[in-house]
Amino acid sequence: MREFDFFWLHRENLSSLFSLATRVLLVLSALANVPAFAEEGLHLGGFGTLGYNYDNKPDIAPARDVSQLPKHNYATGPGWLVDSRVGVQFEYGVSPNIDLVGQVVLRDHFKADFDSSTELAYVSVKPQPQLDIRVGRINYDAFLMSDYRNVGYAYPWVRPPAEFYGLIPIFSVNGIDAAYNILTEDFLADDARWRIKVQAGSSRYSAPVGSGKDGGYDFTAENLVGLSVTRQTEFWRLKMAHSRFIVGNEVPAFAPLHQGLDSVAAAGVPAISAEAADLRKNISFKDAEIGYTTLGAAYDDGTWLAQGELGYASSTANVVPHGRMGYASLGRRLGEWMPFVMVSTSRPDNDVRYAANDWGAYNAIMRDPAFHILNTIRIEQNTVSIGARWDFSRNAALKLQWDRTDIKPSGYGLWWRNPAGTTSRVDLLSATLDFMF
Amino acid sequence: MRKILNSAIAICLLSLVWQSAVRADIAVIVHPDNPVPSMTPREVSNLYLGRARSFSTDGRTAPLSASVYELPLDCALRETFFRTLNGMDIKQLNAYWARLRFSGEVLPPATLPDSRAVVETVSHKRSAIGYVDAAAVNNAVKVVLRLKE
Repeated sequence: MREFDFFWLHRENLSSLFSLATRVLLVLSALANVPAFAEEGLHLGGFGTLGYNYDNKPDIAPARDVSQLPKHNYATGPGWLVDSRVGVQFEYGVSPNIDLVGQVVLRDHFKADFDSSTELAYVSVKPQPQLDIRVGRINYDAFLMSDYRNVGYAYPWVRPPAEFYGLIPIFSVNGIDAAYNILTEDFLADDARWRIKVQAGSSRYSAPVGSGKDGGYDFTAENLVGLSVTRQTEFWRLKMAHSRFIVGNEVPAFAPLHQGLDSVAAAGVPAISAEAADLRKNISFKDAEIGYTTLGAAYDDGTWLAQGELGYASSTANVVPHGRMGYASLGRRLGEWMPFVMVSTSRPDNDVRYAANDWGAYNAIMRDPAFHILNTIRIEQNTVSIGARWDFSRNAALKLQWDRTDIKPSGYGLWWRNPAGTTSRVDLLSATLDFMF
Repeated sequence: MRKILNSAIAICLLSLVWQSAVRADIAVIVHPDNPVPSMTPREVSNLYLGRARSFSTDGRTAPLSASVYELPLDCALRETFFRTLNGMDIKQLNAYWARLRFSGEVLPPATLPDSRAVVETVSHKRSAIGYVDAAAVNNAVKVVLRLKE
C-alpha cells in the first residue's frame, strides 16, 4: 500500500480508548496459538481481495471511494490498488455474554496508518439474550452494506456500487451501539427476525482534499447518531436506516480562500458580498450537518439473488457530496457460477453554479476557484455493470466485472480527472479474487 | 462405567465409519434436560443462521439461550446438514456467515472437531445444540430432529 506508514508511527494520534484496544489486540495476538473449542477463548479469521482493474481512458482514474488517491492522479493506469485489501479479525470470548472483537483491514486509502486501518476494536456485551451492546470502535451502520463493504467474499460484485457507496468513506465509529433482536412469525407464517439498532459516536478519516505533499484533510464526524431497522426472513433482508452527524473541522488548504471570501462578504458591496457570503457558507466543511437515509432490500433464495437500495444524502453545505442515489442488481446461480447485472445512479442535490457578479481582480483568485470547488465535488453519473462470480472453492471466489459509466458535465466527484479532459464515458474492467479464512 | 462408555464410543466410531459409507442420517441433539421435546427444521435453521438465539418454549418457562455448536468449515457432514436442513449450498452459507461475522453482527458458533466431540459437549451442557452423524448418538443426549439425506 503506497501511503502505508509503519504501524507505530502514528501512535501519538490515538485516543486513550484506542490505545487500550491496541494493547488488548497485542495480548490476543500473543495468545493466537491457544486452541479454542468453545465460546470462551480466541478465534481468528479474515478476508481479503486481490483485485486488478483497467480503464480505457488516459485522462481519468477511478477510485473506490473519495478517500482514495491514485498514485499518479488521473494518469494512473491499470493497477492493483483500488480493490485489493486484506482483513484480519480477532474474537475473544471472555464469557458466554462478553466478547472482544478487533479487526484490522489493510486497504489503499489516503494516509493509511494503524489507527485508520483498525476497523473494529470493541467489547460486546449481552445483558439479555436479545440485546447486543457494543462499545469501542464499531462499524458504521448507515446503509444496507455499510458494515461489510470490505468483505468482497460476502457480495456478488467486485465492489459495492460507487454511485451509492463511493461518497461515504466512513467505515467505523468510535462510540456505542445497541441492537435489539426479536423473532416473530409474520403474516405468511414465515419467521421474521427484526433487528433494531441505535448507534452514537464520532468518526474520522483522511481525505485527499487540497492534497500536496503536506495536504489532506482529517475529516471528523461528530455527534454521529444512527437508527436502523432490519427485517430478515428466509429469503428477504429489508433495511431502513438513518444516520446523521456534524462535520467537526475544516480543510486546512481552504483557509486562505475562506479568509478572502470573509473579507469580500464583510466589504458591504451589494450583490458581490452576498454572493461571497453564500460561497463561504457552502465551502465550509466545519459545522455542516450531514444526513444519510436508505431503504434497501436483498433477496436470495439460493438460485436468484437480487438487491437494490434507494438513498438520500443531505448536507447543509454544498461542499460535502450529497444527493439521491440508487442501484438495482440481479444475479442467478448456475452451479458454481453466478452471472449478474447491475445499474446504479447518483444525482446531486446541488445544481452546477455559475458566477452572477463580476468581482474584478478577485475573479481569478477567489470567485472562480470557489465555484470550481463546488462544481467539482458533484457526483452525477450512471453505471451499467455486467459480471460473473465463480465460486471455485468453499471459501474463495473469482469475479470478473465490466462497468460502463456515463458521467454528466460537472459530475466527476468520484473520479480523478485531468481538468482539460473530455472523457464522459468510461469502461472499467475489473477482476478480483475474494477469499475468507 | 467409564469402561462401558469407552467401548460405547469405540462402537460408535466403528459404526460411524460403516454408516458414512452408506450415507447416514443426521441427528440434531440437545441435552436431555432441555425442555424442548422436538424441533422443526426451521427452528434449527434459525439457530444455525444466527437468526434465533433461544430455544422456542411454550411461553410458560423462560426461554433457554442456545449454545450452538458447529463442525469445521470443510466438514462433509456440515455440507449435508445444511443441504437437507434448509437447502443452503455450503458456498452460499460461507458467504452468508462472512457478512455476519466480519460486520460483527453475529459471531459464528463455536466449532468442534467431529461428531464424537459434539455428543460429548452437548451431553455436558444444558443449553447446547449440535448436529451429528445419527450413528454417533448415545443416551447421554436427546435427539430433537432427524434429517434424512
